Amino acid sequence: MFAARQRIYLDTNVLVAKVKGEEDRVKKIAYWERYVAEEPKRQLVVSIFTLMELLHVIRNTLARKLDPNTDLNQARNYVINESVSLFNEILEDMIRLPETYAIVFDVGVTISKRELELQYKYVGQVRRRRCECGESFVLRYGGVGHADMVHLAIARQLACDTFLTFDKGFIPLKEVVYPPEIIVL
Amino acid sequence: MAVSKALMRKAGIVLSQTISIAGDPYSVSLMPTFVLKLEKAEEKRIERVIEDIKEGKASVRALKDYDMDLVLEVANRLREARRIGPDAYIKILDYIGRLFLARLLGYEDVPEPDPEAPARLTGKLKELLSGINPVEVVRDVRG
Repeated sequence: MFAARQRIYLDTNVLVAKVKGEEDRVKKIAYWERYVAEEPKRQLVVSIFTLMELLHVIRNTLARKLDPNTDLNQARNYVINESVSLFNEILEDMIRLPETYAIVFDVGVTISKRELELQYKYVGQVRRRRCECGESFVLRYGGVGHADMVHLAIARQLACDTFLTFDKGFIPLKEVVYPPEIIVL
Repeated sequence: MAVSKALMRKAGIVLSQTISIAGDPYSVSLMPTFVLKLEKAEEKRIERVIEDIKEGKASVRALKDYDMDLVLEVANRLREARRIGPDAYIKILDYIGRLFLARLLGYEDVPEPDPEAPARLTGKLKELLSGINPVEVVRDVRG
């Protein structure tokens, strides 16, 4: 018999897509928000690791959008001030999220040999990407990495039965990681 | 309010000191016995509150006035001993998480949930993240 999903872990790219407000992806997230709202025991789980990555995404993006000739100290001050202001705006809403969301910090995570074994076995792809200068190309390896493994370990530790992500890099792990069941949206 | 190691540290009471013997550092506990007893009593009180939360007799906000490090310690111990299930455990972790963020923002306690909050969160960084792929940007920070 099909067991209903109860605790659904959100990968960082899901939260980033939500705060970005990308229409197609927001619709997919809204489906899960409605799903958890149907039953009181269902929850979407946001971990401290997700919030830490979101803060890093904000800082990284702020720095990238600056003129490369900006004075480095000025740039640093700008990144710090702006990121704190933007992050606090997000936190103001996060602490008011309904109980369909759980914001979980202080997770004791055990990273076992299984995590290294998975990373070792499931090799990703080498892709050709345009260099940041825009004039040439560079090769980049992209596959399941240590941070992905930490997210999966946190989800498992919190007894999440489902792991939601937009990252297709998780597809090879769908067959071998359970629980949580990985759903690539 | 109950007394805990964290509160005593905040009050400037030195609980341990590092001494050097033959060049190696050793931590020596300076904590008087009565402090240990008070902390044990506080742990018992927290345990009772958590039991009440589990049984739906108390709101998770009943934990507000306790030292959160100690609450976490007790919750972890109860979870390990399977005296609380994942639902109660996550409820407590969620409250600790929200309380930490709320205090970071200057609130004394977690504000009441707002059903409009998820909608307000959507598109909050629209301008900053325009033209950016959420998957790629997260991949970048993961290295």
